[in-house]
Amino acid sequence: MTASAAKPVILVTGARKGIGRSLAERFTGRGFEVVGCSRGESDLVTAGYTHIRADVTEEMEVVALISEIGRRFGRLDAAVNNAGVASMNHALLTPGSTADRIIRTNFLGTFLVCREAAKLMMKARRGRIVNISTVAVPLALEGEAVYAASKSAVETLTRILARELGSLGITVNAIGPAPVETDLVASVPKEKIDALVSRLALKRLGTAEDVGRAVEFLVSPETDYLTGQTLYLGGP
Amino acid sequence: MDKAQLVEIVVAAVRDYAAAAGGGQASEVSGSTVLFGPRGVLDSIGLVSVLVAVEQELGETHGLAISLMDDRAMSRERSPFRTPESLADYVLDLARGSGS
Repeated sequence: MTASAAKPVILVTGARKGIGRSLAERFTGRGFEVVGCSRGESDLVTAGYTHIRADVTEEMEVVALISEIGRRFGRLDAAVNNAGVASMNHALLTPGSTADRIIRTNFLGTFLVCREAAKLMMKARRGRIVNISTVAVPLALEGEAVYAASKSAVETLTRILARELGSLGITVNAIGPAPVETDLVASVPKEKIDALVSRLALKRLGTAEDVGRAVEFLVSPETDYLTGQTLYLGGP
Repeated sequence: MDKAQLVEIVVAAVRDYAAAAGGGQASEVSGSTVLFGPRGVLDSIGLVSVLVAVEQELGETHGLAISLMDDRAMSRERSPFRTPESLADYVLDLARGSGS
């Protein structure tokens, strides 16, 4: 049997760039063993970081990913389901293939990682799962019907998993960031972003650091009486 | 892998779970012990934990990647999760590719 790593182990999906990369850098700096995954390779080379190629929409790749974490580290303390895709378009102009891709990555991918991560966490009877949603859910943003709906599914999954996994010592929460300047929102017209920001209590785009601080709070061992919640950033 | 080995794996998983949960029935588990339902030794989370442990043991030690909790299990007239022996039979069916 694999000996457990001395340092806490956190999995970050979609870690190659954007928020995921920022989370990987943050948690290596906090003394974690960070396992990042994405469909492609990462150029992040730093102590405490391991990158594993995996497509979260492929069930057997997720099974293999978590299995590998178990073999290498013998533990998994936290998992952050950051991998996601967005597409801004009027519902009437959204192809089925685009909707399918969004639902598969944002919802199915999150579900599969939650399921497999929880199996590893339950051995230690402790764990933290953080899913990434969006302020587009409470704001019911026009042009984001499928994206927001996929994240609504993530929020429902979060609430129900919190109940199903609570007795195993695993908490499940979500964070709903305001738009963060990443590649994901780079393709969204500026006036759309400005209109969104104007509906927030705090009138600015989010940053990866904003998300990182919230994730850090939710994965802390001390945050053990908070589960099934979605924490929105920016005040939607 | 034969049925006796599979029964051993299931019984070990039930004992481990019962011991971790502080249950007093751990040493009494055998191949015919009722696992779930009336007179069962496991509650719902216990059953989930045992099935996950069995899946992991089969995968890690025996290279057998199967999912015990699929639609085929749920649609059977008699639950394959009734006893360690019935679960072992079900695993053998799945391994032979005839879980229906």
